[in-house]
Amino acid sequence: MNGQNMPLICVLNLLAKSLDSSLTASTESLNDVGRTKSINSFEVEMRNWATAFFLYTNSANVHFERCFIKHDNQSHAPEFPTKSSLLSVDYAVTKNLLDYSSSSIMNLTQELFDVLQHEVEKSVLIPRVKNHLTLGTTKLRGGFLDYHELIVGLISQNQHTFSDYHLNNACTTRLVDDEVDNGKWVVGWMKCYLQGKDLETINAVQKSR
Amino acid sequence: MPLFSDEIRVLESPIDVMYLMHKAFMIHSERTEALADKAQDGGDITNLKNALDAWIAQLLYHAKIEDAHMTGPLKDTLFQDGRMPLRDNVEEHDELRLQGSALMDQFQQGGKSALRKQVASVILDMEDKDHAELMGKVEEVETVIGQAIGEKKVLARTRRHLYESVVSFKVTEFDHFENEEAFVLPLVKDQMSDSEELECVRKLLFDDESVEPRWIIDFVAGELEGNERALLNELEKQIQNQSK
Repeated sequence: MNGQNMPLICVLNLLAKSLDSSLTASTESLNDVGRTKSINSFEVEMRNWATAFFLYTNSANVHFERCFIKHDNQSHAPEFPTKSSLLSVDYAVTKNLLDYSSSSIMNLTQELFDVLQHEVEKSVLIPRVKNHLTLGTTKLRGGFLDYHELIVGLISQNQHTFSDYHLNNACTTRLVDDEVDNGKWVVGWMKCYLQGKDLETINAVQKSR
Repeated sequence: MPLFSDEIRVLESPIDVMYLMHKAFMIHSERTEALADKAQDGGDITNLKNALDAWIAQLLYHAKIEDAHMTGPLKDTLFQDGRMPLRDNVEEHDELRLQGSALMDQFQQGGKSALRKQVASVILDMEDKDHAELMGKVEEVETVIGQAIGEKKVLARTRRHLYESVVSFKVTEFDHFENEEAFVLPLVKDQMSDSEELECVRKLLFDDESVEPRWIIDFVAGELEGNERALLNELEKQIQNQSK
């Protein structure tokens, strides 16, 4: 999983690890449908995944916008405050690249739900449909990891604002604070998939609330 | 007849060799998929390249012979749902050729093509910009984004995309085999005599234009075991008898 360019305590990393693990587990669980598991539980897992991805996207946008200086005069595009190789690429292209990536993932998610809705009859998972669901989760995982690597690559270019936003778990706290249930659901969901130091981190954030 | 994914105990008609061939192809495809999955963790990909080459070579030959000697001479039929088995079969072959070719390009070009494609798509989607000017910057944007992501991640992304394409190719192949068995093989049995079927099967299993005509039957036999391989051997004897 990505993470070498950013400190461990970034909520994007924690969410990304959870999203990746969740997809891997759900894909593997397709082998158990009809034996120890129902297709409905797979569908619930994917709905949870989509909810967590939505939170990831919101946080990714906040991280990204913090990397740029916005001008009062709107005819001037936002720009990087410090010297960076990204200076040669304008804000609009970069922003569009991120938006394009996230909307592609949403489309892939919808395609997966379409397969579930239209192809799964009476909860029976035939091999052909299982193949398509596996292809769906494989594409989703690939698209998501591409997106995560892109956002981490871009925001890590500006170490100054990046560090500011990660003192005292600032970005994690903001994600939790912005949720109507104070992050209870998303923290609980992440805890199902995190291990080791990542789990300790999220536990610490939870205790500090 | 059972599906190719079941155990095949008997060939009721020579064209039923398709069940054995489809089964052998799918076994190879699944092994290739596993190699592509493992390649995502890094390491040498020579075995994956060899497996992909064999997979695509077999499928291309198979589709070519089917179009010319199996579905080609048959008369199509129209189902109530609009399906026309022979027309659809040819279209599915075209899709397999397209995906196979794209897969090989992807393998040869590496990660640059995927990232460049993504950047180019984004730029074309931007409404308020001069596309011509921006398209000229695709390479520059790709380089900068590549640097931001890091070389190691670009390689990981390449392997990941390759794995996705392999999975997608396998799913298309699986669907095609199921469709062919359900809708095309009954037409073959209805419209061809046993002797015509056997000649079609001979062309499917032996490449008359190759210096090694057995490269298909040997591949199929190599993937099968026990009773299924014995069924193939028996069919080969029938082909030899007919050729005498």
